[in-house]
Amino acid sequence: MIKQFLAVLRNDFKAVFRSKQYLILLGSLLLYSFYINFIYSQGDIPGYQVYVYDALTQSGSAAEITQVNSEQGLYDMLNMDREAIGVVKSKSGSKIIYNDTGSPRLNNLKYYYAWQATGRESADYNTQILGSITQSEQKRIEMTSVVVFFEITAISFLSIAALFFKEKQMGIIKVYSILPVKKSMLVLSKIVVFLVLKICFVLLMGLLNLDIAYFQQIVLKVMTQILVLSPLMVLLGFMCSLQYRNFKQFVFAYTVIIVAFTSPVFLFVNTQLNWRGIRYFPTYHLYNNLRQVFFNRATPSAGYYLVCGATLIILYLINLKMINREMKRS
Amino acid sequence: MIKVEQLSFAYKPPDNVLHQLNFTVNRGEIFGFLGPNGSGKSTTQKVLLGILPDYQGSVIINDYHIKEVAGGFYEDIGVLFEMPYLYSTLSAVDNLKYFSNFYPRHRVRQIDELLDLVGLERGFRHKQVKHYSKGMRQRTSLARCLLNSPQTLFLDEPVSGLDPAGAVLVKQIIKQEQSRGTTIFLTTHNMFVADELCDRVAFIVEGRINTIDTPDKLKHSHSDSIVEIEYLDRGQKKQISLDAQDFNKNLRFSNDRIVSIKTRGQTLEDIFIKLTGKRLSND
Repeated sequence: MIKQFLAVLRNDFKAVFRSKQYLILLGSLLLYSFYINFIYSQGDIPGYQVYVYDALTQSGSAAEITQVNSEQGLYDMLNMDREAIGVVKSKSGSKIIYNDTGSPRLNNLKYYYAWQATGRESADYNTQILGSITQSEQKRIEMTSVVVFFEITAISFLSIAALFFKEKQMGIIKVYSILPVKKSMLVLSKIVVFLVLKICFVLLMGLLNLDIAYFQQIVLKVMTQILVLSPLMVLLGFMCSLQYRNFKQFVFAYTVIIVAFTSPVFLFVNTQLNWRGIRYFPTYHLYNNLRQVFFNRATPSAGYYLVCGATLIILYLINLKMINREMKRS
Repeated sequence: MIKVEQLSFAYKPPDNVLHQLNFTVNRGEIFGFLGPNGSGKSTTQKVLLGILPDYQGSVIINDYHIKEVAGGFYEDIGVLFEMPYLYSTLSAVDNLKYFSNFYPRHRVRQIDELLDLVGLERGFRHKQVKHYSKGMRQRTSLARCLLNSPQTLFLDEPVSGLDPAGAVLVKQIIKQEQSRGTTIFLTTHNMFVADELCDRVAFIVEGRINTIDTPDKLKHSHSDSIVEIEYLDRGQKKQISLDAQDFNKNLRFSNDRIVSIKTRGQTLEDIFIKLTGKRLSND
């Protein structure tokens, strides 16, 4: 069984290398890295202009304020709730503390939010930003997360279909129907091949475009997201390629998926545009979680992983059923 | 050995495409399954191979009940498809090496010996299959289906796409396999191949088996000769075939002149047409 699986795996790796897909991967890696390093991260986005209307007659504090017993307790709270803002008031000096958002605009807003919430009683608060990153780094992280997501959702999806349509064209699926091999191996092998390729891609993207020390901090979290995202897209790609009789039909479905489900996510997550409906797109949650871990912010909830796990199992079973159907049909 | 009892199958129940088929193929026998396109040959073969498990009746091959087939069943069989399905970007040797991974080592035959057997030129063995002619691909496919020393062979149009020399070689190999005790289920609409190779043949039409017998017995029991007349009709060359006994009754037809008259014995195709009212091929 293991010998058979290794044989299928080796063959799928060879097929990927023969089809020169690694060149596309390598090419896109270099192209995107060039773009991130020399174009995107070099651009300058001005911060918010802050206008202060000092109406001292107004008073009161925000209902969100919670008292903690010690300074250490405050840091612990900030570690747990990375969106929260801490305020330390002491004789030696008062300070506003928050986790870096990666965006100077948001950092400013956080500062003034805390200042407002505490009743603006002192104008000389010091600022302590935890896990600080520069604007250029923030841009690199942002674009790296976009590229990784695009690479996995769009390119992987297309690559698996191209690989499978080629096998279909050669009639190999018919041969598998009469071989003493478990059909599940055919799916598992492709998942492993593309997972390995994507892990390599993400590692190289991280090393080429992010600060190495920073990348070390997030690499495990990012890989966890890749472990979810890559098999999902491979299974979806495999399913679509089994569903459609030829590559033309598949390309139509692919275009619909990219235009309708993937592109809007970039639009609504990375720009100021806002639309509540985007939360109903599965791709929104996949991208948003990937982005969050790239920025070393809150990690996805157990519920998210549960839904992803269930989806993976369902897609896997659908794939097996569709392989059997394809074998009967052929 | 293959034992089929009351086999019925429907892709969309209750519209059966196979109707209560019964036949047995003995160990070491070459059994021809003859029928025109759409007669149920391929569906029967898919049922026998365990690809269509939702059938009614009983199918036993090499002591395996086909409804419950596992990997072990596929270790014992070899299947040659009508089209040569191979990885076109691999060489013949690499294809065979790859497929050999799925069988127990003690069953796998030597790749070079197999390629010698099917007559694939040594110069091509390490070239990618995409550079092969159809005949060379078919030979490689035949080598693939013999790779695991199968007890039962399923051959679908085994000489299709081969040149005459290749066809002779493949027929020799099939006979050779039979002499090793291999049971062979041969699906074809080429009556010459069936006549030459098969110990017994079954005629299948519209999902029903019409006749099962040896080619010799079938020809003997329908031994009337055929009279073939070539003639010119308004300058065009035409041909009619008549049963010898009806020769006098049907001799009246318009013609400028008769070119030739010759007699021949009944072929398997003639008998097929006589028994089923259908032609084997559309050619």
